[in-house]
Amino acid sequence: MAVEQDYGAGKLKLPISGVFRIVMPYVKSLFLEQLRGIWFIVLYLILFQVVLLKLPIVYSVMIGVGVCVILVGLMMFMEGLRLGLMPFSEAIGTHLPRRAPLPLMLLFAFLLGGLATFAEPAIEVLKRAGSSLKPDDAPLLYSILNDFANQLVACVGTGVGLAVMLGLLRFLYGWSLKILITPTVLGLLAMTCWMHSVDALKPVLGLAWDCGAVTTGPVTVPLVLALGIGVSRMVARDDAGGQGFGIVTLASLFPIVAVMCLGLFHYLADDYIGRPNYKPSAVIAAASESVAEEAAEEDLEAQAEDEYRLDAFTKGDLDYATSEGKIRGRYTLEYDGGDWVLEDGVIKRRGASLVYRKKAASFVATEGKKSWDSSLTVGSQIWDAFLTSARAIPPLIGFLLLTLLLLRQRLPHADEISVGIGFAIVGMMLFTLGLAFGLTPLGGQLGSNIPAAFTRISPWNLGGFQGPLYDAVTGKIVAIVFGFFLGYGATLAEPALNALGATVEKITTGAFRKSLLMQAVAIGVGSGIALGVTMIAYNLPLAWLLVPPYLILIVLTWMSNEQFVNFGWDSAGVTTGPITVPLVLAMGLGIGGNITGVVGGFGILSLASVGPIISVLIVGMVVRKTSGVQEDDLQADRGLGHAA
Amino acid sequence: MICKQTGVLAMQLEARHDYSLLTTLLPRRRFSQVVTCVLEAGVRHVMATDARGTLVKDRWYQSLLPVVSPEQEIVQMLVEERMVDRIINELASAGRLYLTGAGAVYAARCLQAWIPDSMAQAPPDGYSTVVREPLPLKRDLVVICCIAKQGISEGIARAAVNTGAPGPTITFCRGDAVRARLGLLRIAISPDKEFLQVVVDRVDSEAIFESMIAVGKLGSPGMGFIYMMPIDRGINNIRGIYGAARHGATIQQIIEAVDDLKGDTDWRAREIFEASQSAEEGVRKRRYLTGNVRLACVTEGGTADSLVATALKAGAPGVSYMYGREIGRADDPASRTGFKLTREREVLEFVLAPRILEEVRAALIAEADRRGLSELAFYTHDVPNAFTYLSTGSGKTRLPFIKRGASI
Repeated sequence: MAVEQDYGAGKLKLPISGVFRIVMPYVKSLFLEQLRGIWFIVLYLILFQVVLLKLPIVYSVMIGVGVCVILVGLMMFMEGLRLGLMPFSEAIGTHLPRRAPLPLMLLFAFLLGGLATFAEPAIEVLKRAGSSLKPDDAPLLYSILNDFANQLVACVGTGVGLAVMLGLLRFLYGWSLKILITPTVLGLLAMTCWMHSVDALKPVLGLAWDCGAVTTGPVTVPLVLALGIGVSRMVARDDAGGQGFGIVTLASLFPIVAVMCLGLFHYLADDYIGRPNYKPSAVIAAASESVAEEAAEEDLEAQAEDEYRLDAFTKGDLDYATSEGKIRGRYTLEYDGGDWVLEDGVIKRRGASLVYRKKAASFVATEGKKSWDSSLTVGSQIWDAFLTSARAIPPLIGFLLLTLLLLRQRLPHADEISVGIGFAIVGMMLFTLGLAFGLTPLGGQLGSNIPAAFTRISPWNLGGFQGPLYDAVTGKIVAIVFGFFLGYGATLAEPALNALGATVEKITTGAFRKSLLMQAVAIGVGSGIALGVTMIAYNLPLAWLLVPPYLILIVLTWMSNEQFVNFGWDSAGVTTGPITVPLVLAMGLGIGGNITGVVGGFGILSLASVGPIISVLIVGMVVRKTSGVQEDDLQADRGLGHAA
Repeated sequence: MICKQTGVLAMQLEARHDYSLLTTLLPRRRFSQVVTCVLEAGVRHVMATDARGTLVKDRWYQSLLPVVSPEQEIVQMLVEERMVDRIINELASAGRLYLTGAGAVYAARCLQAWIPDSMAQAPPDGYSTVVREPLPLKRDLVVICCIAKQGISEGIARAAVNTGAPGPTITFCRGDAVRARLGLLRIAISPDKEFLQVVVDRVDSEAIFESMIAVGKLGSPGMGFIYMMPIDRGINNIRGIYGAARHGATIQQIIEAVDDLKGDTDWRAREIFEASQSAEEGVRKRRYLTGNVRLACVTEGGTADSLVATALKAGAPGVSYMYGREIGRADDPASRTGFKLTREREVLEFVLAPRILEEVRAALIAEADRRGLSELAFYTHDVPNAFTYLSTGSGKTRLPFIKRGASI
């Protein structure tokens, strides 16, 4: 039968229903994709709180709304990356080597790296964390975060800039990533060990390693990856081992070095707080004021907590008893004093007082449970989210546009790219907003409630007590297992990792699946966090847990092939993003606060970065065994046996 | 057509009839070796595209283990017919393509080819076409190509393997058709497609073609486009199954031995047609596109977008275009700092009725002239059989954008 295709032409005018039929499946597929990423972590956190910790969810309505906003935000942000940011950056990557001389390329790379650092919201978070530090605990750390805060940001920016520069040079000259990683990591480890032994420098370690983790966020990573892919596509090559990757790795390692050097410099110059060369600055006064304010707030909180004490009734309970005629909570009843008399064959104690003693048992006061946090005003949160987004994306886009003009190139699909950039900005704003309303309070309450597994705590924003639900060892194991799945679930929802996975799939023409990479990374992060929880629960020093894995890693790196080394190390840089970091910090603080001798929950993040590298490299080795590469070689060895 | 005697147009007047398209499918590790050898054998430049092979796991536990599909490379070259035999032989020896599972190479003679001098591949002076110890080449081969929307190609590939084909080679490509006519609304339809190609014996081709259609549901709107193209000769040793090599022969070698004994691969057909009767009914009802040609257009990297738009405006029903890089040209571009740069290429492929071929080609040439592109090559091949979703009845009542399967 003679049939033909439609040979029509010209722009289509679609009726509204037609537009609808095109847009609906598109939106649906995007939505489902994000839902697949995020459902696990949300459901897991809720179930854990309700079923295992036997506590209700506080601010349930707000969290529900927040999660929906996150879904929409992620959906738009990811689509914005796919349509706008990544093609834009890749286009620049392909034009650069053709048009720009080497020094200009390197300058571009350096500026891009630095600019990306200023854009990352996490740097702000770190700086803010500095104001709550007490100068006496860690003077050098305090000074770096307050007196030298600008130097810190400049240092991190320089580190990232150098890393992007070196990453580009690597593509041009075809250097192996192994050769760059090994000395850097060994140097870092040596410095870590040495700084661990100097009291003043020791607290800076945590900051340094954390800086490495936070610099590579959801905007920087896709941008830098796409740039790398563009450049390495243009540079003639012989082998194809992880082309376009590696910048993220360097951008995670170099800031650590930079911050360590900054710490060392001020240590040697002896100009931090409490030292002879110290010059107080205006920042300090403001900072110490805020410290005082916070201390006052803490006192208030402590008073509020007094209302529900473990073993004694409070005024509130008395008021309740006098008005209701009964005792709230569990109690034991005793009789005190009185005269023993015999009356009509009955022994009585006349004049005795009844003593109600509070019984030490779990009791959760749910009366005051709120479904919305009234301290979070929607308007100011939206403004904050907008600022975060506006600070992160437009400056970078402006820089890229400027570069494009300088190279005198036109942008292909400029309309699509502008729509994509719009999506990315709105998406990031919604995503940030959703985090503030949804995941942060949910993660926060779980983080502080999880110690209920092994000790008695007062639940987050609730009255009463809970726990210990299990004995000390089982309870800690529960907390460790909780940490594993928290890391696993949060990683699967991370936007930067999603972008990395998609890029890996694209580069290997689909041979290396995104799901395989994400699962491997998620398991690695989960293991790292479980190790981190163990560290906090048993108060082990970070250096013990950080140095051996990195040494193992060096060995694994040399045993693996280049491609997996690139994927693995890069995925370590992207795992600690906007979803994982608040959840992990909340959990670390919650558990750390209930273990004597532990201050804060720092260090878990750096362990969460080692885990995925190890897991991806191991997966790479398993893959080599299972994917028939060896068989191929074997067959070749058998020679001409089958030559027709 | 008014001809300017300069630019691309001038070179495009005369069609050559003595060109063949030579395609090699290789595991990535053999790539540089084979390319070096081909370049030594008198070919001036080849085009390479990254691809992946298909992997069928033969043990239950393999589905639990992480696996990565084998990475392959597609190397294509447009050469004069009399060079073909020698190149195939040298290339096959260098890539050891005579071994089971090593790869494939095939030559398909172009109906017509329009090639600018800078890209032409005439044999150098004193070129010897004599082949010493020629390898036995298979005749009566057919290549089945399928453009499928992303995500369904793995199932189609598996169906092909289960019906007796070697593992299809898959590359990424972009597809455009009605999408390009939607304005900004086009972002709602992803242009990313996957391009499968598999070389099979002519006797098996129908069954494999049908099973790929059935599993990919290519008869439904928006799923894909499939066509087959006859091949003159080649070597076909792509593997379909990756298994352990603990025995005297691999499963692939055993399968091939049985194939030889039986004379065809019908004995391997399973599953697809046992599955349901409705599938067979579907086969009977299918309406194929017959008597079409495939027009391929090789252009400089980054220029495909405007060419695609032009071609669609000129009436091409749909286009798939993929990215490749040209290797071997002496005048390779260099960066301003002296780094050797990749010469990027894009290949546009249209399957269309011969009557509109010239129209589309003329439009492409005009656009290339307007943009000042100096290198634009065309070649055509016979496509006796193709299939995609076609709207039934008047077609006017339905929205046109769901008519075109893969091209959407």
